[in-house]
Amino acid sequence: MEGEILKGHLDMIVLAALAAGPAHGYAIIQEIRRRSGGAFDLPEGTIYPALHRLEKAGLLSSRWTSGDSGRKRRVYSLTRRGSRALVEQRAVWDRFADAIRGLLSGTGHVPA
Amino acid sequence: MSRPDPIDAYLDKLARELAFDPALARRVCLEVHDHLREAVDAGPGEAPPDAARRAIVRFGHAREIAAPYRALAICTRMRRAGAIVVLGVAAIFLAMEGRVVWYGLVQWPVSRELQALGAILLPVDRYAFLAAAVLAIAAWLRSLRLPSPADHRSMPRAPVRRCQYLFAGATIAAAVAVAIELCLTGLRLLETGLSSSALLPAASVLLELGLVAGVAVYLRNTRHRLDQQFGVAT
Repeated sequence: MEGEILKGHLDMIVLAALAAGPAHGYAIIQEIRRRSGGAFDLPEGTIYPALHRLEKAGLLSSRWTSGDSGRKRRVYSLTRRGSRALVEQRAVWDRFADAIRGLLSGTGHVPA
Repeated sequence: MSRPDPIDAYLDKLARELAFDPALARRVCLEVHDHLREAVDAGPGEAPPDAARRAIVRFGHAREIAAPYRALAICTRMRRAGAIVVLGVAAIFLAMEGRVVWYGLVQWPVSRELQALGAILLPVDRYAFLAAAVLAIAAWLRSLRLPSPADHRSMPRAPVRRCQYLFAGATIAAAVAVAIELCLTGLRLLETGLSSSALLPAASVLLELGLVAGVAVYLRNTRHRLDQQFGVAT
């Protein structure tokens, strides 16, 4: 999928990937890839500035842990505000997707 | 001579790109180190240097990774500067008001000459301070509304510059007010001589001087850091 389109929705994608529970950067990327059936294949590094930005905005929290390898690992989780933001963004996205689907199919959008 | 580990070389490059914030650079490099090592461990059994190089390519160019951090750092720095200017001006106001209250409490005598000088200088002092307060609040509000793009290269420089001019204007106006206060307080103290009741006015005016100087130094450092942060892109 086009990288620029994905970047525009990166925050929502990251929040959705963390909805299942806390995870570190690499695991978040794997989760995004798995849940999108491999369609979302961004340069992996782009996820880290997004995590940092979302944490600064209070939508995520993070803490250092030690992985099985003994390396330091930063694990992120959704805050309550982040969960609320995800619900809102999901609703906006659903409305947008319905409208586009209606437009492209030519049948028109039927409001829910 | 052995070739450097590709991951270590990449992390060095990333640390240089993030050198504008050493704490952030350390944190990001630790995270990226864990990511790249995990990607190598999860790779399809290639030789370690090849697996590392592949993981780095998938991760992205260090400069591209650093760009959004840089944009965020510019916004954060400007907002912090705005808050510091507002707090500095507010603290100067409290010091000035505290001194006025003290003069009333101790019934501080004022000579006719000093009253005449005060009649000329105090309006200038008040207007300068008012200008400082208005400019500081305007600068802070502008800093809060700065656009926060995902990449510092697409960040417009003009709004940042306008904020900096407002910061500078607020600081200069505050410095004028403090200079007048310093002059009038100094003359008062010279008239009455040094006593224990002079300690508070002297301390408060020195505090104001320190606050103005501190804000000015902070803004100069901010400007220097912003030049660095914008400069790398150009």
